[in-house]
Amino acid sequence: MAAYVEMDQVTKTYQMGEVTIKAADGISFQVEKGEFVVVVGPSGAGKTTVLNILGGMDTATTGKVSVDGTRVDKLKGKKLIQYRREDIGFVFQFYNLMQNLTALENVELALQICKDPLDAKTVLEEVGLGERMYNFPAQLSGGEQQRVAIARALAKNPKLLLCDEPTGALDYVTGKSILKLLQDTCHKKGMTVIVITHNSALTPMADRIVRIRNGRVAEMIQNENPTPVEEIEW
Amino acid sequence: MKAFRKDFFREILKNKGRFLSVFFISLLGAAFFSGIRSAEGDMKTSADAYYDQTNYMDLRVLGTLGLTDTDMEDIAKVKGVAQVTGGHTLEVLHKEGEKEQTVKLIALEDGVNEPQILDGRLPQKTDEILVDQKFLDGTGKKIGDQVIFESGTDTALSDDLVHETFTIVGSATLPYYMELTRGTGSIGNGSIDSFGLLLPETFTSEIYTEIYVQVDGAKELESYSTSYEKAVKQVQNRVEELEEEACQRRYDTVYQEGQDKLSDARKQVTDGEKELADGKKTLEDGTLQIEEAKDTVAEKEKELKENESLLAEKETELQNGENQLAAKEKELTAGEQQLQQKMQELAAGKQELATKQTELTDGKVQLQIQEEELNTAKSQLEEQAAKLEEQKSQLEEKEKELDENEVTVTAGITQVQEGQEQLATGMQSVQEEITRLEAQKEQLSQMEEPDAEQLQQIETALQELKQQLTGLETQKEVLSQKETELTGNLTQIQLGKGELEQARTQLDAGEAEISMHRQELAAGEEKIAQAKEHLAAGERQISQVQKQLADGEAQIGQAKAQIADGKKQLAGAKAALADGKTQLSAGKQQIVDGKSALREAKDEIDAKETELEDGWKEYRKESRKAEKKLADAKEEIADGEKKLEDLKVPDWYVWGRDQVSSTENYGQDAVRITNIGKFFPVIFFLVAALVSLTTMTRMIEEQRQQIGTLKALGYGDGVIAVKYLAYGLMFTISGAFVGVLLGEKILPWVIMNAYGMLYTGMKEYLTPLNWEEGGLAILASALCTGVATVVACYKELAARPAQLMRPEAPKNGKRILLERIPFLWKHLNFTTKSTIRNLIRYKKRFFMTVIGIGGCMGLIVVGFGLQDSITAIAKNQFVNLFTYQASAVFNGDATEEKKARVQSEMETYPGIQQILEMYCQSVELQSPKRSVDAVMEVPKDLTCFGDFFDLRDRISGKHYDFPAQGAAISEKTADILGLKVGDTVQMKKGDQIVKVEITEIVENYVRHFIYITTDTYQTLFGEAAEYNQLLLRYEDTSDSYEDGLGQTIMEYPEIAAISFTSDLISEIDNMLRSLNIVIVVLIVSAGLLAFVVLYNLNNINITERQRELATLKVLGFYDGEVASYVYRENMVLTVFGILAGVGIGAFLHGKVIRTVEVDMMMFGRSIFFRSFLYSGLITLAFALLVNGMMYYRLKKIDMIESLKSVE
Repeated sequence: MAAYVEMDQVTKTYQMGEVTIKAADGISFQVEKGEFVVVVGPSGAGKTTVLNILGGMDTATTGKVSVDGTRVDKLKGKKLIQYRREDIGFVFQFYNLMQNLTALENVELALQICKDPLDAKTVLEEVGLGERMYNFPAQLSGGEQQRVAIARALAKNPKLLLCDEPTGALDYVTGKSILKLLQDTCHKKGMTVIVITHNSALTPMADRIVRIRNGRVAEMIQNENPTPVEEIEW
Repeated sequence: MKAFRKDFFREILKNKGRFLSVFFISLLGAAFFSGIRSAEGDMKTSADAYYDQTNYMDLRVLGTLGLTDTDMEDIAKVKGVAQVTGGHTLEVLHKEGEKEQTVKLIALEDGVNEPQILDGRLPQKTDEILVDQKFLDGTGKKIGDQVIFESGTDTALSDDLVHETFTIVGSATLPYYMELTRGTGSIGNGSIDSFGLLLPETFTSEIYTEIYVQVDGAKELESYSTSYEKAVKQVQNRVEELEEEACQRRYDTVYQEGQDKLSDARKQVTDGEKELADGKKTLEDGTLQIEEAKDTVAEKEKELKENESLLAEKETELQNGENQLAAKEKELTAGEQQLQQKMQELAAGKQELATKQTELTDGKVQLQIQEEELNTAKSQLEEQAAKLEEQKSQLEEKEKELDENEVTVTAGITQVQEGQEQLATGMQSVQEEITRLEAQKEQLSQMEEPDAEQLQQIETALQELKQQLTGLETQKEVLSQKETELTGNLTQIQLGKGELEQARTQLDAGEAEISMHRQELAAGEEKIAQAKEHLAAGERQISQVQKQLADGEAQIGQAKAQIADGKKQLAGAKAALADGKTQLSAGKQQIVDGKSALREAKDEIDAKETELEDGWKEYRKESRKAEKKLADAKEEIADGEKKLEDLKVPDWYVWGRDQVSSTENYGQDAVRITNIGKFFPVIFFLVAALVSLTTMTRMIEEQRQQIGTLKALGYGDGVIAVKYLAYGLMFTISGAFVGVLLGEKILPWVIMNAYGMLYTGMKEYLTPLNWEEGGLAILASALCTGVATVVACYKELAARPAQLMRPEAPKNGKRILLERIPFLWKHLNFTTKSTIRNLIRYKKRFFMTVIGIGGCMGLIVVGFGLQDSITAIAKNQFVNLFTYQASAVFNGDATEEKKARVQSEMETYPGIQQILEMYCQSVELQSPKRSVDAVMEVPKDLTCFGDFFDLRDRISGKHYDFPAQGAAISEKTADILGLKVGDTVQMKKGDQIVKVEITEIVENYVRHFIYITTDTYQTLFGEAAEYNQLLLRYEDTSDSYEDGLGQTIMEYPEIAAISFTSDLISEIDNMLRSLNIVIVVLIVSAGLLAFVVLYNLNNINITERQRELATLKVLGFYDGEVASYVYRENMVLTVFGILAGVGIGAFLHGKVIRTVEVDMMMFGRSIFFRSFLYSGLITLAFALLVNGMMYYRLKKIDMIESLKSVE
């Protein structure tokens, strides 16, 4: 049986003026449904490229990408947008919330365009923002904002939750609580979560670790016994 | 610094959209600003070049009694005068068919007011003329055609000009007739239609109409400039100082000339009276002589009459004698005729007698011959009778013989027949015997034993019998022969009998013939006997007649003798008569001669008498005339004396170019463009500045972090500020520079071209670069951008680097009022909510955008509004206010009856609804402030005036009645004159100046009008109005109908011209089309500006929102959904901008319209709804176009790059 998420010999080259940059150079890995995956590697190794390709924000130059049987590498234009819209939830380092919509409205904004959404208020309560859902982003702390972002991603009920350095802009404690939220979401709801980080210390919490170096998968480890976030220190 | 510069240039290349929008906004702003503002200067410069080229006079001196060479010499001596030229002008009429043109003839002078030849050449001979193009257009004449002019006054044209007929050699323009109007005149309909240029020698007068002065150094100055005006004014004042002395001198000359003329006239009158008296005396003598001659003739006449009656008596006598003679002669002729008849009768008788005698002799001879023939016939007859008797007896004998033969033959026949019978019986018995024997023989032969003997016997017996039978047969034959013989005999006998019978018949016929002949003979004998008796009687008659004839001959002889006697007598009488006649004719001749002599004498007297009569008649006529002439002359002398007494010291008018309507109006029009330039480009410029300000502010905000970095690196504030300042100024100044170049070349040219339709003559349009305006535009642009940049920089530079390095805290989202109404708020979707919050959050941008778009929209509205105002003119004037369709002008000499006839006849023309008779006259309206040329309208009939004109108030729309007292004047006229209802206006008609109170001010758009009643006219001018126009109303305004109407009405000799309202409408529309070009320039420029502004604002908007938009994209919003998020905001801003534009436009329009108007016209004051609609739609269309262009930018937003990090 094919994996839930599969990347097979994915390459990506950028043409930056006269320079050609090889951001991914034959990346292959598989992820099973419901796994918490950490993609780890140093800056510029091609992590974000992998994420962008998986999330339909970018397209692979060559190689095969499939998510739940969908060949993402073959999608184009409106189909690609539709894939993002219905199958993917994104969480960014800098939250990217709409500044003039409240927390609730930011979640609802995502909901109004997808087919089978969860209830916005419930999701916000689940991420622990039940009290602050009527605040504007500017009135929330970074962690809270990231929670809104996660709630916005989760409320879409996606097949895949993609997180790009979700704790990058957060302090240690807040970061931890965000990671906890993500891990809990994965384990409790069976959501497939892929987190990108440069921080190798986070690897123990993952069900699967993908190490990327210089645009290639250096190793892929299946962790039978992931450590709960609380026990990880960095 | 190298890296810093690199960064600077990369900045430019990186954001081409921003670069171009700032560049183009500056360009448009500067182009429009400097272009429109240079237009006035360029127009004036072009005109000045034209004036210099044609040596246009600086001053014109006019004298009410004309100007002399001495005047000219004096003026030439004035300080500052460069050149003086004396000029002649004369207003004349050109009539062709029904068309009448007033032409101002002007003497061509070298070196001043030189014409520019359009076609043909200058006149070289005194009978050649160079004409106005308007003359050719108006009359349809061509170069090479002959024109004949007529005097418009009592003075004969030959008094003023060498010729009256001229050949057109070309067409030209004059510097002081740049306009299409040629001013007012003193003849014809009061306005001059065109000019004509002649050689100065063509004018006979030595007195100049005007003197042209050129001022020293004025040519180098620009015509409309203050320095020029100042230079000319000085000289003008100096020339005016000469006036008093020159005018007194001119007065003295004219007075002396008058006195001389008067004394001459007085002498002439005395001479005339003497001549008259001499003539009368001669005539009286003549009358006396004729009376004497008449008496003599009467005596002679009486004598002649007596002689005549004597002659008449003689003539009667002679007539009687002649009559008798004629009767006698007739008798004689009758006798002679009788005699002639008798003689003829006698001759006839003799001839008859001779014939009778001959007949008688012939009868006798014939009778003898007949007797002899008769006798011969008798003897022949007897002989024939004897022969006949003999033949008879022979016949009887033969008969007897034949009868005997017959009997014998018949008996023979009978015998034969008996023998035959017997034979037949014998034969039969033999036959029977044979048969029996044969039967026996048979029987025998049949028996066995025939009895040969018996048989023999029988055989023998048979033999015998057969012999017997043959014998019998022979006998029978003999018998039948005999019978045949006998029968033949019998036939012969019968034949002979037939012959006999025939002979007997012949004999009988012969006998009958003979007896007939015998009878005939007897009749002949009897006839002969009768004839003999007849002959005897004839002989007796003849002898008797011979005797009668002899008697007749004797009688004739006697008669002949008598006639001869009568003839002789008659001849004698005739001779006597002829003598008498000769005498008589001699007498008659004498009388005829006498009579003719008498007639001649009488004729002579008659002729003399007629002559004398004529003489008298002439005398009476001439004396009456002469007396009248003398009286007139005396009166004239008296008049002259009075005039001379009244003669005032003349006035001089010293006028500069500003008194020439064409020159002055052109200057005013140029100023008007500047007036447009006051509002329009400023608004334009403001919008442009506003937009570049927004752009620069945005740019600096965007580069906040970079500024922070630079500062952190240790760059000074000044250097950093200079970077942005340089950036902003570079585009602003380069844009403005290109804008100035384009604007100052294109816009003035377009505008001058447009005005070229109204002002002819200028050959080229000069568009020098006007660095004053250009510099101003560039400077203003630079200042706007510079200040904006510095202000924006200052805010950023004031902050600490650390602050700058961090992203600017996003402006807080705020709850807005609308959220308090959950009912509405809940139904909005999130992008809409975001849009509304955005609009309210960024108030600065909101207002900037609204003002930007509103400004552009406002400019477009003004453009369309101007067009509305202009196009409204013709329709308002000629459809709403003047509700008639045509006006026909009467000839000046048409009498009242003829005018009435034309009117009544035209009223029956099919389609004509109404006709109004009017008196229209050009007048000048004056107020202390200004004066304008206007048309005075005096309707004959006030009751139907309202059907032809609508006098109303423009604003309230209230309809006025015709002013019973005072006058109604048009709105613009009142405006120019600075007068209002209740004020008094001064009206100048010819030489008369009257004052009238203004009681109504009425809506009017084209030209100036003053309306008064006939009574008011009578009161004001002391004369009755002479109606000179017919206004016509009808429905059908098609060309075909109007052509027909025009032809019909022009057939009346009383009608001089007809003009149709429909033609006027198109004429005005054509004229105003020139302004339309300016308007199109406005609209296009404003549209362009709107486009650039919208593009720029959108561009800023998108750049600002890039992160938000990328987030939406990542969330899976489709391109269309992302775009609509941006567009919604844009559209709302655009709609607000359009609404603002309506207000801005309406306000600007009101301001601009007053400055653009010409004196002659009032433009419409309102903007049609349609124009707002068009302007809004244009703005909206640009907004949509910009949105369309932005769609691709939105599509291209890179999610990854935008979201990577906070800039």
